[in-house]
Amino acid sequence: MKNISNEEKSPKIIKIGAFAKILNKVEKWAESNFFIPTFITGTSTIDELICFLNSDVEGQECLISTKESSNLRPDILFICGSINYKKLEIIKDQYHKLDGKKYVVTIGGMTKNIMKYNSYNSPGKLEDFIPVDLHIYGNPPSKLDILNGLRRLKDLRNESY
Amino acid sequence: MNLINEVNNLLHLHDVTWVNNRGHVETHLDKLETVLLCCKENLGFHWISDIIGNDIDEENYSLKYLLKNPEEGNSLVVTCLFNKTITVKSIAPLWRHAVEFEKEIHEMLGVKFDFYIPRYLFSEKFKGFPLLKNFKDFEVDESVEPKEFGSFIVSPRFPLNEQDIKIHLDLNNDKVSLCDIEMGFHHFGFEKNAEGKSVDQILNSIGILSSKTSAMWTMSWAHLVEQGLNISIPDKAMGIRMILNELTRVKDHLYTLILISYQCGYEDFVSSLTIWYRKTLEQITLLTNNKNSSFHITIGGVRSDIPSGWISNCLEFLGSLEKELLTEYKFLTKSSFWYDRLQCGTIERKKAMEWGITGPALRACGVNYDLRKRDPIYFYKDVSFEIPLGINGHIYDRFLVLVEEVFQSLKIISQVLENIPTGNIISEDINSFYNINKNSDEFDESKYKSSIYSKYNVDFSNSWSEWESSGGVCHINASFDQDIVTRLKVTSPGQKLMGLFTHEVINEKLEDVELFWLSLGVKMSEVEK
Repeated sequence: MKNISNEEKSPKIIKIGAFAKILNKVEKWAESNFFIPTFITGTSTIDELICFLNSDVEGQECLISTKESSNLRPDILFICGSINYKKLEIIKDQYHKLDGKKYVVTIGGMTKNIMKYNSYNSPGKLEDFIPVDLHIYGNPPSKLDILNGLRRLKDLRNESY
Repeated sequence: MNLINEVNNLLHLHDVTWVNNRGHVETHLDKLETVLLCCKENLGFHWISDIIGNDIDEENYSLKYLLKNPEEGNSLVVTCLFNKTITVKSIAPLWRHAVEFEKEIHEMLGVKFDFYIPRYLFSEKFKGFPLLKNFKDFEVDESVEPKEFGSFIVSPRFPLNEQDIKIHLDLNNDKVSLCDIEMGFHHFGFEKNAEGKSVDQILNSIGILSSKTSAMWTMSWAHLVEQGLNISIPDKAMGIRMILNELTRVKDHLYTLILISYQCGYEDFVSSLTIWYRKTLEQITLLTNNKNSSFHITIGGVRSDIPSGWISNCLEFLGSLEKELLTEYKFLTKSSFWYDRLQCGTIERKKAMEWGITGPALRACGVNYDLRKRDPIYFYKDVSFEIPLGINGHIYDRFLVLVEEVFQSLKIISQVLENIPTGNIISEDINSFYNINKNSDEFDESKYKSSIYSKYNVDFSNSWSEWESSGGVCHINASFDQDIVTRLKVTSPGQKLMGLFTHEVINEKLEDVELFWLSLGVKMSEVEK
């Protein structure tokens, strides 16, 4: 095996997303509204996001903006899907990396699902570990739920100023 | 049956019991290797479908080896009991993919094998084995250092969806020299939670294993219980289940195709497929009246009839999807860029057989194995469809097989829709039993539940079912005490694919690793459960 230099030894995370394009739309929406987002997403809600971002629902246009992405540190964290101990470590890590006024949005039923809390691998409610600003209800949430959730987030930020 | 005599003679055992091509045999741990070798070499049990560990009591474990003869379709279960202090010899020299099962048994039950197994579902600092009967909670040892992995991490937009995984690689001249997979981001203890639950509770919760194939898991469980109860479901319910099964397959294959085409940078194809993915999802929602299609299935049939007008709507949808997909497909197959880009991620036929993989990845290597043809249930034997096969086992072959399977699924759905039987959607026995009890003034749910399972007077002690899901054959093995599940083991086809991937990715280029992984369509939530 080739000897790897010290520079190469530092882990390099290559993020070439399977659904990066679709989530980029949400990112662009966020950026057009002066949010810099990061995602910890789960299972089924991604389907709903895909449907939502490709549907003819009123208000779609306002979600898709053409602003260039920036290199600023994120200030909003979207979390979907069930949470176990390993995932919690990543969420905490990402939360601490958020910049400025931090916003945490949980999406879908899994982050609130009682059934999975009974598991030995579940740390419990996410609210016990990091503050959650907004929860978008539904399992999976409907298009309008997501749209309204994103609007509420915008209002929330405006209120804080 | 000749096979019974063969097994008896070869194994010198006279306690092999056979029910419907399924044999059970018990042996001692000392003889285990000889028995398994004999089964493989002389009796054609070339595959091991699963290994199920169980915590019998405070002193003993049991291991059940599920062997499969892929040519004849027979199964044999070899069971052995042993003391918890004994180290078990790995059977990896006989079946390579058995390592994956042994790793899981060690992780969940603490069975000792004669090779080193690190923790992979939980952090190294967590002490304890969740499936032991006396397990309460993990003990955390903060002094334990986390495991060190390779230098490069390839993470498909980690953590994004059911492909959530961290692939750690060591590189040699831009080629992979070592691959290690970090997982455990989806494990939520389904098997432990299932213990002590009733058949109906499992039916309602098994879909949680995967949002993509939830209906398939639910159907597989319902099929297992119906086999145990020995009840047949009405023709119409069979038809609806077949439609739901194939629509789910179409949806899942489209999803994998989206992943492949996105990875190759074919954005137009991604957009077009995403729209069809959404439309397929809509058709399933319209059919089942629920976003979670797994709730549509019930023991003895389905919960609701086909909505009026849905059949013509669906037939129109099938026609449009076929036309659109065919246009894109013809365009892509003419593209030399597409062909060149996908000439990687090869799985050789011999390796595929050694690892016992199933599903489109196996068929792309040219092996004709599909449970829908091999062991048809419902009306699969009556509908006309073909099994598409690849030649080289490249990603390109897998792509072709996936697209062709979508066409075949559409063909199956059309045939079923055009000949959909009339009648009930739930078994008469179950239905009448429900009505009689629920109409009476003294309806007691617990009494009803125990009586419904005693009514059929079935031996529910051990059951397993196989189901050709979109990613391959998924297995469910369950032990019951009346209608209460005492041990449940679910095995996803992705488990073997993952084991194969870590070996086959060696010498692949770094840029191809993610494409290789995504083309296999492994659902980590199923694998980790």
